[in-house]
Amino acid sequence: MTEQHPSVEATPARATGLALAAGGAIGLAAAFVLTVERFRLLEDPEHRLSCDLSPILSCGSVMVTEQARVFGFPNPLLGIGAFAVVLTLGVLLAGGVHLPRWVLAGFATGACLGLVFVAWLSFQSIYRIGALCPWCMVVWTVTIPIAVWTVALAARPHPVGRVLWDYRYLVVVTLYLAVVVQALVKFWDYWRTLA
Amino acid sequence: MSKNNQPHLPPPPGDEERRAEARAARHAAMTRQQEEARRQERKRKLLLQAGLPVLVVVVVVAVTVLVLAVRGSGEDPIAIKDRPELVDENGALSFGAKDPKVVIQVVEDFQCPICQQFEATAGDLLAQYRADPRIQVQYRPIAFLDRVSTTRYSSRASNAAACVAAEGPETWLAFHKELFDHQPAEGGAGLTDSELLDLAEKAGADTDRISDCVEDESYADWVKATTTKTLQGEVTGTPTIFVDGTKVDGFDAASIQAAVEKALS
Repeated sequence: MTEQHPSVEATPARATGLALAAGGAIGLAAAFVLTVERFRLLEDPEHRLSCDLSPILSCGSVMVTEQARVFGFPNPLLGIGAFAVVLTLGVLLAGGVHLPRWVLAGFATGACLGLVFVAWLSFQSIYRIGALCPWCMVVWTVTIPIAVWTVALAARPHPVGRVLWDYRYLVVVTLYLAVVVQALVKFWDYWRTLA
Repeated sequence: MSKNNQPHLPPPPGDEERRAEARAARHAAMTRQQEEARRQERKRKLLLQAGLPVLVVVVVVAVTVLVLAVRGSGEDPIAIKDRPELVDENGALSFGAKDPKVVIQVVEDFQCPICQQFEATAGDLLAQYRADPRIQVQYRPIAFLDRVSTTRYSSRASNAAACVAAEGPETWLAFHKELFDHQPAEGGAGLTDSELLDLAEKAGADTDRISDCVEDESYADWVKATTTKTLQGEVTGTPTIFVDGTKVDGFDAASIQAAVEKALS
């Protein structure tokens, strides 16, 4: 019984690492595309972007807003840096590397900051800008589980962490729903036309 | 475990064997029980970890969609009383022939730079068509570019156009041209209400009559309603041009001309 414990502990970290690596890779790809599209839009303001599907589903209209450059430069540049780190740490965990506690804690803190940023961006997108940018939504979609997984992983030695770990899917789903329901309500007139 | 523990006394063989067997059997039963318990526990956990979230998603999305569908189906967003003069129930202003053979409809946003280009390149052609007894030209202003100005210029300009509609068709057309000639840049503060009124005056409107309408955004509800309704249809951006209800590919004078000629023949 006792000698089984390490392997039981190690498996979730590895599987989580794999999930984090996948999330990091997807987020990196989305941030990269958003950055490249931003350049295209600068070269040619009339350029029709790959993700301009309709007035509601459109990156172009979201990209040119003040909210898309909160810190004075395009937000996706932050994403390229951050998701590269997620991908790297994810690969290390998947490879069975035992990361020090403080690294995991730092990882979780960074991911939480990302989550806060995404919450603010999605609010701005839905209520202030009034459009949804598909590539941005890809970033929201991966940031939510990345934050929950890293926090749960870092906090696992604590009883609270174990509860969070057990209910991590529920937490992720609840956060997803918070965004989805708001987008459903706000743009209902548009969704209705798609049916 | 048992053999190495008792190296000293040679035990009565049969007895010891039986006892070991019994112990092994008991141990196996216990392990099976533990195994079973653990399996149950895992099943319960899986149900909690995967089943509960799925259930939550299904319930919440279903309830939301249901509520929205029930609430949304009853109302027609365009069905409001204070529709401006000259404007038909589809949100369009008609010029030219009353009983036309061909109808051209231009969907536009006063903040949209391509609409400005369109007005500059195809405006003369549309003026010719308005004079043609076989052709009616309709303008359908919408406001979906509020986000590119800091003052919701798109909506305010559309509202001002609705106000000016009360001043007669020629004044409206002149104001329409003024709005595009003085279109503010995207990302700026747009024109102020008093600048809009100056343009209206230049177009021949009586600003004493319309200033309240422009400043209070009297047609704000109508602007919102006509925009929503228009975007529910085939329109996904501006300018969009329809000839006899068929969307024209492109928005240059030549495409319009080709479509109109085809419709006339």
